[in-house]
This record gives sequence, C-alpha cells and structure tokens, in this order.
Amino acid sequence: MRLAPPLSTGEAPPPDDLDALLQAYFRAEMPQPWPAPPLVRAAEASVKPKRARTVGRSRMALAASVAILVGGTLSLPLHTSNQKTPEQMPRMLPGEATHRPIAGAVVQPKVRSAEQRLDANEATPPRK
Amino acid sequence: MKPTPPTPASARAKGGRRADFEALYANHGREVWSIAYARWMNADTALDIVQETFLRLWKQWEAGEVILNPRGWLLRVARNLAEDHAKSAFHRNGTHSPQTMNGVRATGPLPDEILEREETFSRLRGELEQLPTADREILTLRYALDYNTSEIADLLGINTTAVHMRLSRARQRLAERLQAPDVKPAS
Repeated sequence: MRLAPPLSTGEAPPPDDLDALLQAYFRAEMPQPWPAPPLVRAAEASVKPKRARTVGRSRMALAASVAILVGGTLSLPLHTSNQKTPEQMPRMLPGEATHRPIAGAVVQPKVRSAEQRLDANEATPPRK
Repeated sequence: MKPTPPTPASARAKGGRRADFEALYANHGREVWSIAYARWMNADTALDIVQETFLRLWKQWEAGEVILNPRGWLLRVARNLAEDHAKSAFHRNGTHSPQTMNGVRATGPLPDEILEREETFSRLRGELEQLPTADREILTLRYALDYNTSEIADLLGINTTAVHMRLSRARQRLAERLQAPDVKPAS
C-alpha cells in the first residue's frame, strides 16, 4: 500500500495525497479482521450443554435396552428346569455319543430274529 | 428444578433473532465503530463500545423490546456510551486526557519505513484530535468505510449539502494544520 509522502512544513498536501493519507490512516486504525459478534461464544456455550444432554439421554436409553436384553437372555434358562447346563451334561468320549446308555434307563436286550440266531450258531462252532 | 426445554416455536424465534442480530452487526458494526472512534480516537476503545452497544441491543430484544430503527438506536447508544466512557476515563487517568496517552509506542528498533509511517500517522492523529467531533465523524465514515455523501447524510441524519460543506471544511482545516509548522498547542 502506497502512502502519501512525508509531511513537510510549508507545503499543503495535494488533495489526492491528503485523501490517500486519510484513507491509509483510518483503514489502519480499523480492526482487521473485523471481530465476531459479542454473543458468539455465549451462543456456543449454550449449545454444548444441550448436546450433552441429548447424547446422555441416548446413551441411557441404549444402556437400558442392552440391560433388558442381557437380563432377558440370562433369565431364560431359569424357566426350563429339565434342561441341564452345559457344565452339568456328562462328558462323552469320541464314538460314544450313540452307544452310551442313559443313566437310570432299563436296557432291553436285543431281540434277534431266527435268521440272526442261525447266523450266530454258524459263526461259533459248538463246544465238544 | 430442571429447566423446561424450549418449545420448538421459541427455539425458532431465538434462532431468527440470532440471525437478525448477526446481520445487524455485519451491516452496522463498522458504522458504530466509526462513530465511537471519532469521539475517542482510540481503536480499542471504539471496539469496546461496539461490543457493549450490541450487547445492549441483545438485552433489549431478550427483554421483549421492539426497536423500529435498529441502526439509529445503535448509533445513539454508541454516542451515549462514548460520552460515558469519556467521563469515566477522566477519573481513571487523572489529569491526563486519554488522547495524550495514545501516542505511547512500544520501544525497540523498527524498520525505517514503518517508523516514518508511524510518525506520519501520529502527527495526523494529533491534528484530527483538534477537529470537532462532528467533523471527525464525517472524515471517519468517508475514509474508513468509503461512504459517499448520501450515505453519510443518511447515517448522520443531515442533508447532503451539509455533508459536502463540513467535509470540505474539515479537509481544508486539516490541510492547513498539516501545512503549519509542528507547534504543539498550549494545554
């Protein structure tokens, strides 16, 4: 920005120089950049608590939903008394899943047909 | 007791009021600054007066007051605040007028060009302080905001002929004082 030449005694500054000098002076005095309105910070401060309350309510609602869901899931086994928990179920070895007799159950002998008895007799020779 | 949340209608009203407030500040904030600066010849003081003026406007709105001419209201309040500031400044600064304290500059080496510029501005400021406040208002509006004669007349509530005459007189008086030797006026 060009300024008017330095002022010297005995010479009146020409109108153009005086205009330029006055313009440069007043523009230098004006705040740059122009500051924000006085209520900006107050408005932002008033907005933040509202957002915090909204977020807090959402989180509480989510927490309540999760608590109801978990509580309901955990309370389901209590309503079914015959079922055993996995810890209470007997441990099975591989291959025994289909042949292990159920505790307390009466095992009925297999009833073989006549053909099965003949096959069994042929397989085992009679004792002398 | 928990405060009741604002109703949607009141929230919208406040949002609209906020937008109006910011628009007024953008359109007239510098005008208020010019009026305050013309009275006080101090940029920081003028800015304080601007902030206080607009805060009072907001409080008026919050109180339910209806201001038909916000621009005129702002300028009137700014002038009153500038006068009140001058009265209180006398008690703060003692016998020294605040204007004389504006010339205090930070010590330290400065580039020659900046130093010369500061000296020129300092002398110009001293000459401006000798002018009437009304003339300074016109000069500030003309050279800080590039307002034409009609805009200045509308803002100050005077006719354009009066603006022409006062502007011409102020410039002539200023040119004469800058032409004169550097003689400090007797206090």
